[in-house]
Amino acid sequence: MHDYRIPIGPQHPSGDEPSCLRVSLDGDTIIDSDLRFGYAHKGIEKLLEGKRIEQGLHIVDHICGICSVAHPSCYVRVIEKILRYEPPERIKYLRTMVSELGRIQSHIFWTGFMLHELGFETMLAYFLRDREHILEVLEKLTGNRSHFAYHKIRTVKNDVSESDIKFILSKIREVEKKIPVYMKTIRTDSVIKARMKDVGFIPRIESEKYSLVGPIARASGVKIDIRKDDPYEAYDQVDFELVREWDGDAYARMLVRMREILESINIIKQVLKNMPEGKVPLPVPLILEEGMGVGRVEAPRGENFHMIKIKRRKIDRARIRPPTFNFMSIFTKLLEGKKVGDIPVILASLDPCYACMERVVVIKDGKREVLTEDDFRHKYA
Amino acid sequence: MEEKRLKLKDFRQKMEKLRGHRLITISALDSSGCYHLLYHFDINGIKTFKVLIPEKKPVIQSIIDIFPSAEFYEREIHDFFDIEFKGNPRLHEKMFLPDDWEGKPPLLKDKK
Repeated sequence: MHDYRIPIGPQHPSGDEPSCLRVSLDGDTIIDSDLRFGYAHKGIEKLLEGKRIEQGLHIVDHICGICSVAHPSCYVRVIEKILRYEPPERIKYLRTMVSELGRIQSHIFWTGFMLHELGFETMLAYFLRDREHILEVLEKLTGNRSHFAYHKIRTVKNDVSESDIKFILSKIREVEKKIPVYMKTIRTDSVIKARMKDVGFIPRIESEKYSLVGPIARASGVKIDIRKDDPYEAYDQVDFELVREWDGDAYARMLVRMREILESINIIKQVLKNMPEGKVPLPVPLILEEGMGVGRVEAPRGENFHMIKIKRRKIDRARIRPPTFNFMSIFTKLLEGKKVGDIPVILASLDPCYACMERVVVIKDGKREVLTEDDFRHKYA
Repeated sequence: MEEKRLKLKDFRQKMEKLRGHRLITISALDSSGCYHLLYHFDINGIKTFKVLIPEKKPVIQSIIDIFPSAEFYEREIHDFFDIEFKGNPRLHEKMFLPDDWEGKPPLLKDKK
């Protein structure tokens, strides 16, 4: 029997994100696979070189539209660590609130698209409707519907007023009401269970071996959450549960994310209740001659890591390791021995965010890019 | 930033000792005359181990047998810095750069 090597993507109806997956097949079973990235390149790490620190914050904010709270939050954490600056309590609380709002909108968006991959279009429409509530809150707070740019060095973009707090509470209550209804659907629907139970199974020991982070590791029972392990912002002052499931399959990953939405709502309520009085300072120019620092935050998809080196007041080197890049190494391993039809479900259950991952490629004009489809036609057709 | 310098010849031995801890990522830096490779681990906070590699012969042993998640980090660094990781089987298959990429690796500094 022949082995067939087929490219899936970069443009493919079952993939929302551009990547090329090359799978070798024996009949319908995958025997080997490899990933190619670089189709959503922006050259962020190179762009950051030689920029001032404030300019860097603006670029970092534009890495990704979905995680656009996590990246500035991490960048600001690293810079404040180098400066040895501790922000006022009110600033910490405001940042925590926006971080959690960002997590909720990301998780709702992902759950909708996961169900869309299974052919459950109605649920996608419902989830997008509920995400709108969160986006309205974020728009009111930050002025933007994506690329929020709320975190600033030593401060935040703007303060919240009493009327804002009422508005936020009314909107998150709307979402809070809906989540148990969806949970019931997910827990009872037989199609969802048939497509997701035991698919993309990662045992706990593998999860630890592959250094997995975020909801994927937590769905395998690993106790890992940067908000608990290495608290930042005001996470050491709020009480929340580290959500874990034990099955390690695509279904468990979905349950973890759904339950985390409720936990995030719980955090926002505590933050709004206990927010200390105070002023939001205005941003002032930053003088930082030299320094190097590392830092991490819990992005919606897991640990987000930044390393920044500053030399002569400019960024000399920035290294950004978003969570998606961390779990791509297990994706190819997960596919081995599986059927072609499971590829979209496994990929979607990992919640990849390629915009975050592909930060570094620079392709100059006039350079020809070799498409794997052509490659395929020449070699195998 | 907590940083510990490792010698190139003791590198594998130290990595064996760290087996079981979580590798966060590997970062590479282009400095004058050498490359810095920073291995960030999660050991009660972020602990960094620094290895210096000479620019003329940038070769280091791969650690994917100890930390399988290092595979893509090493391939990324190979794409952008042209550092050779001995023992990584898919190192030369380009991951981010186009297959017909010519010219110097994009993240190297302009040295004049």
